[in-house]
Amino acid sequence: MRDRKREFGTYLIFDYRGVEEHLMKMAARGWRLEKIGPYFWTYRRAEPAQVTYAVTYLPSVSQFSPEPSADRESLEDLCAAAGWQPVAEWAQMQIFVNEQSDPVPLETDESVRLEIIHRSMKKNFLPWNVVALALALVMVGLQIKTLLTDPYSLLSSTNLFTSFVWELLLVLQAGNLLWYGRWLRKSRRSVAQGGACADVGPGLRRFNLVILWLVLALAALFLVSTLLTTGAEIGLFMACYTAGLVLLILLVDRTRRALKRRGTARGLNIFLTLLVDVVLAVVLVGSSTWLLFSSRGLFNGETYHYQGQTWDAAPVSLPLTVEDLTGQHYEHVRRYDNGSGSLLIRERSCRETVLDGEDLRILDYDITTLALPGLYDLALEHCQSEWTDGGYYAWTETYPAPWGAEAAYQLRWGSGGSWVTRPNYILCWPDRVVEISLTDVDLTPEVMAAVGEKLGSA
Amino acid sequence: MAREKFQTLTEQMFYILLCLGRERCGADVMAWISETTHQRVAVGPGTLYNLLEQFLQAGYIRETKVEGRKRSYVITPAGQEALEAEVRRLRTLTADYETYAKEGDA
Repeated sequence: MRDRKREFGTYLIFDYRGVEEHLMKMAARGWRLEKIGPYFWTYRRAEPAQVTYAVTYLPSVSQFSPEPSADRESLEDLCAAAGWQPVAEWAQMQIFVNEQSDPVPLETDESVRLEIIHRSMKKNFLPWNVVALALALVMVGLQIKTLLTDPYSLLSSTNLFTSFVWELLLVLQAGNLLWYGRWLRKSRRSVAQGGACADVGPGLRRFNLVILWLVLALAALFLVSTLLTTGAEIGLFMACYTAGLVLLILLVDRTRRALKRRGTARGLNIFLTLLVDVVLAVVLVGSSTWLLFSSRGLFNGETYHYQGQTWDAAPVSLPLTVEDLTGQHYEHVRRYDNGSGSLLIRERSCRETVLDGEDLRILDYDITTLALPGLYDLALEHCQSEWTDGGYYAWTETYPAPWGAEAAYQLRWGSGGSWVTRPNYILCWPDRVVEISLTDVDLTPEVMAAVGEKLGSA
Repeated sequence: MAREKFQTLTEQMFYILLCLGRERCGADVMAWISETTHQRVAVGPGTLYNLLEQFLQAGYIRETKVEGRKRSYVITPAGQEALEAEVRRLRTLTADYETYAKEGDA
């Protein structure tokens, strides 16, 4: 039987009544609050009991204030005289328990309670919420701008799903701030009339939980999208990165707590904790980038040198190779296959270099696969604009039947009315757009058919 | 600002200032108020802590000694003045009641 239990903390700091009622219910079920971590509340098993939990606030302390805090000790001394024992603290919130059946309440003046809650909120919650809200507003604004000016880059981004976290953050921060503002107004009105502070109610917690679940769903979609579009090495990278990020958060919190326990001054604690945060973030990004590159070597296999160049001992498989087009076998081959994009638009870049006698032959193509037919025009326009943006290139529609495609375009280069065709083609099917460069391959009807057959369904 | 804030004292504020006519620590303040008012007025430790802080900032009380975690306080002339102003206000209320409530009865 477990002696400890962890619970994700979903209360907001001004919801003192929600916290008190929840802790009393937990105690009645045999779980006593032991400590409050950065995200989880830890309970220890105990005999079920009817005890009273109460919450007060110390606006003068913060998560970085040194321990033992003289203010906290002074409060605890007063509380002990009335039978209240300290249980845990969470930023400015101080949680006490009383085993007596009908104890003197911790707070007996609602106007004082409201004032210290608001002062506490002004110290942490409100500034951070306003900063986060402003940041989310900027990011959402940039996303809207990208959606209007370059929708392809947004819809094909690997971060398509995680980018929606900014919208959720915007809703979360705005919702929490509005909720607090409403609660403060209602409480002020009630207290002015001799009543108690308003009840926050379960709605705010539910709202925060819904946002949390949506964030987790976006994270899951991001992982699935990454695995499907980029392959195993990026999946490994993401798993290691996520683990590293969790470790970073834990280490930063441990640092803050250790400095707090050592009695480090608040300013120095903030500086050192930030320093540790930055150093660990640099280590995390550095090590995960190293892992990314080393894992690519691992997945691509061994290489060897021949005629001054590096070749793959066991080349990765590609949907179309030079061998498929020429019918010849090549001993020395070097291949590159990179996946990216989102679940809506998946991109795959393939490149093969083969040694043909003394010469090199290169086959280069990009496959863009579309999840929705409505994205076709967007993908085609994006594919064409990568060449035509400079003004020297243009795409001419060409006969698609030899390729087995539904539409085909060939690249032209030139200026002043003099145009030269180039062996670059865009081949279109309803669910994909392929751009291929056939510089080093003779274009015959057989080659065109082979390209269409291999890439039209790859 | 502080004057404005404490222009009218609540019962709890009144008794805290009243009992600090003599040097007392926080626990003694709670016990004294409970005993003096026959438990009609109770000051919770959280409320007391914050009111003592506010009175200190307003200059109504001053800290006299710190023994470990225990801090003792005593009222200042400014606090005494606030207490007396509250008593005058209450007397005016009572006098008005005596005058006008009786007129109403008549």
